[in-house]
Amino acid sequence: MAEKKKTKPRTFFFKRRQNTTPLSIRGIILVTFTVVSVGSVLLTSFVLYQQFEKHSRQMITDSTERLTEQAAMRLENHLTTMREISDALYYDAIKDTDFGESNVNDQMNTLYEANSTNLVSFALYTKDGQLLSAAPTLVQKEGLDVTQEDWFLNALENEENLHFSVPHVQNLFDSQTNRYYWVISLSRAVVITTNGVPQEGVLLVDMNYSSIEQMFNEVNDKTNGQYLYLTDSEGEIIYHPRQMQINAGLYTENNIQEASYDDGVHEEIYQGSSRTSINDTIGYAGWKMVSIIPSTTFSLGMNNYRYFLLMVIIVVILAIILINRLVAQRISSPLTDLDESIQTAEEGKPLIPADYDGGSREVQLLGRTLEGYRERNAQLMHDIVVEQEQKRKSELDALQAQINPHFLYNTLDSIVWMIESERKKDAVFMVTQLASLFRISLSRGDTIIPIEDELKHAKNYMNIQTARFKDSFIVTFHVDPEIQHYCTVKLIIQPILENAVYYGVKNMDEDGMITVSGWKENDDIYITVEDNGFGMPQEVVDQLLDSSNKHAPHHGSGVGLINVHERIQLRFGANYGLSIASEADHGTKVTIHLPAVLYTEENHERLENGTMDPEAMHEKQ
Amino acid sequence: MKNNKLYISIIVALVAALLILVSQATQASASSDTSHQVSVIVNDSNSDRWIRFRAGLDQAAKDYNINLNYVTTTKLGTFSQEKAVIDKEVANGTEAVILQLVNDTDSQDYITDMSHKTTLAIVEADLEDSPSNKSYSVTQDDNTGMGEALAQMVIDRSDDSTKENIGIVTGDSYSAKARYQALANLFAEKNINVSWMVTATEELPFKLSEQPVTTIVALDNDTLEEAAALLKDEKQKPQLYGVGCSDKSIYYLDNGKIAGMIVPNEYTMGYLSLSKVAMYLNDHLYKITDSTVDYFTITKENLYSTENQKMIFPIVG
Repeated sequence: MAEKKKTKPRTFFFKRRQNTTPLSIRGIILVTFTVVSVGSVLLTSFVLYQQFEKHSRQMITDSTERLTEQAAMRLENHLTTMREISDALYYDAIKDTDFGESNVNDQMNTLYEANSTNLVSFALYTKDGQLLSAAPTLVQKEGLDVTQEDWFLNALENEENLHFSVPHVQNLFDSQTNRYYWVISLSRAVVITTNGVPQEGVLLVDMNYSSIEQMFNEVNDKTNGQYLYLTDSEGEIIYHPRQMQINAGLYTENNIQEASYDDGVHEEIYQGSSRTSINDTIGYAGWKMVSIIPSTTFSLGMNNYRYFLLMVIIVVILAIILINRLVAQRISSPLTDLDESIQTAEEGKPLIPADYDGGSREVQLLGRTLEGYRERNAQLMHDIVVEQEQKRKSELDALQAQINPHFLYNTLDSIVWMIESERKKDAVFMVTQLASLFRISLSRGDTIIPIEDELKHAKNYMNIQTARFKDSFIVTFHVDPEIQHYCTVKLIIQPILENAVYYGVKNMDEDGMITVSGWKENDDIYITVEDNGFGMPQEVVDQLLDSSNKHAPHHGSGVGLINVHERIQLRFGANYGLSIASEADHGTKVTIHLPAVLYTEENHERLENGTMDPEAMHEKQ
Repeated sequence: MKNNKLYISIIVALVAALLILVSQATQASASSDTSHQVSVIVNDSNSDRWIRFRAGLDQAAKDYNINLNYVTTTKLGTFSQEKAVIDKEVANGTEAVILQLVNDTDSQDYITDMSHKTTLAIVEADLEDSPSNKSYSVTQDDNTGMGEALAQMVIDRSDDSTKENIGIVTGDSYSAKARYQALANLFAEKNINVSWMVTATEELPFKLSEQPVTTIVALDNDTLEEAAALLKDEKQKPQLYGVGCSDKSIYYLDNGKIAGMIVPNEYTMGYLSLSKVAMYLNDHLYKITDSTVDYFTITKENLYSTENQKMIFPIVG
């Protein structure tokens, strides 16, 4: 089963190949070179692009990481400054003050004035929530209970530490100006001395949130798609460039998840999009700074590069196709020329050395080898023609040799009988006819003679036979004079007449009639010999021209119709020869079919040498 | 040979076509960065009631690379004044106008006509009888919901004696009219009679002296602010409720001059109105749909809750 499966595709492949027209060598070279070149270009471009993109991503990630570190450092510095302000207020002012005798309003105001851009207010509360000092000088809202505020509770809960709140709207003082401030509260537990009695209290430094917001906005405004946000350790957002959108539910952030990441670079999928998150912890406050690089940021700068690369690839592919075409033409043209030469060489023309001299060494060698084969083949063909010709001549000679003894004996016997009967004129006629017969038979050794001579030969023969058989049959010639100047193989009518005499009319009680007709029809010549003799059945007719039939009749001079038929075909091709129509007791009609080739010196020579293409005979008229 | 040339010609033509396509894609990519100009026309544009609305517009302008022209206007008393501002903006080549409509019966034909000339987006409230096949978008407050919420707040925070002593200051905006309808319906449903109703705060002192009430309801920000300021000097101090969105209104709520307030989500209205226009300008196949934004029910007690302060006090850098 497994073997079957393996062999199936091969069968299919070969079937396909058999049914497909093969490509030209130029096409194969062009397609192969183009596929390989384009493939190489695309692969190289892809690899280079991947490397470039990877490098670009790394660069963006590195620069964002540096930006995040710088922003974290700035924020840490800012928070350190705030802590230092709180420390200064506590250790240099609050600790040294007995609030039973004075307050720290002056120190607070001085520090506030020095840092007013980053601060909203200072406030010092007792453990019961009573305001001791504040800067700037403001009226506290009525009915306010700060002891329930997160910043107050956190400060007292863990007295050793400073506490940073998440951003909130300050709700301590009545500004009288409709203004509300977003602040981050830095609170700590402090010891307040009143009339020498120490008690717990809370120092509140409300940092201006807009300072931090501005700090981060500056960073985010410089970036190109990536952004930076800040959360507390629980993931509660402290700053986000889309803070309002998030509050309004128009935008969501993966802040809870991302706040749980360790410091460093993280790849994540959020809302179906991949992005890179770079985390950094603000050590002092425990806040998390998160930089996000959406995948679109990586592709932003790449789009133009992609289009540029695409254009370059397209132009390179075009150049490759055109260059490959030139190369394919250059390589294949000697082979194409050689192919054309071979096609013309089939008509007997020699290969033209110039056609393959311009090609590569192999093409030149192939051309010369083929030329050698062609020459040897031509020689062989010539030898075969000569051999065939000799064979035909030998056959003819043998035929003529067969005619001579019987016919000559009978004719000479008739002449002797005429002389003895004092029929001198008849004897002279017979001798004259016999001489003419032999002269035409010889025809200087030619095989191809004009029909005129062949008819004359036939008439000579029939004159002799008529004399011999004492006019027991009548011979009539109805031949169109036009055909007399066309070519024929010699001695083709006489054997047919001989058969007509011996098998047709010789033993008839009534007068026998033999009619010889000849005419031209289109490009063909027809000569018929028709007798009114005994005829023969169709099965005998069928055997007459069958060369494989060993029982074909060979009577008389031994010149069979099959012999005449084959000689015509040997010379003029299979389309020509004899056809026989006969009917018992009604006679026989033998038709000789020849091509109409004018008897000229050139045609005569080419037919004699066997170099005339039978198909081209008509064109040679 | 002839075929060979034909193939080469086809390949060259294909490559040329590809080149043209790529260059067009490059141009399209470059043109997608083009900034569109959008004008915003609202009544009394510098009023602090628009702070949240403008914050939303600014964020959308940043997100969609819009060149935003926030047109400075004074109080537009009539539609003809507003019309003059719109015509000027369109003549200056603005691609879209975001518009708060002044209540005027003459505005309908003009708005219909203008919406075919430029991309038009109405905010806060639609025309009273808006055409069925309108070709402008509306991003409006949930005026019906706000009217009902306001009525419900008054009912919830009043006892039986004060429920029958209610005065209303409506204002004359489309949105105030819609709110009044919802408020009046709910009062009627609850069998609460309204003592009187005026359209402008100027009438308020006279009405108060004529028929004192224990509760006053103001249906838009301006009337609420004006009512709070007026009541400050009145001997009688009726409970004031209303719809407001300015820092001043919130301040009045914070210091007790306003007992309860409905605050529309103006930030979302600003963001949505411009982002929809921007998406349409970037892709004209984008279908702009109407939107209704939500609101918050605020009292002095919940003003500083974590959730409310995020929306009531915008973080505007």
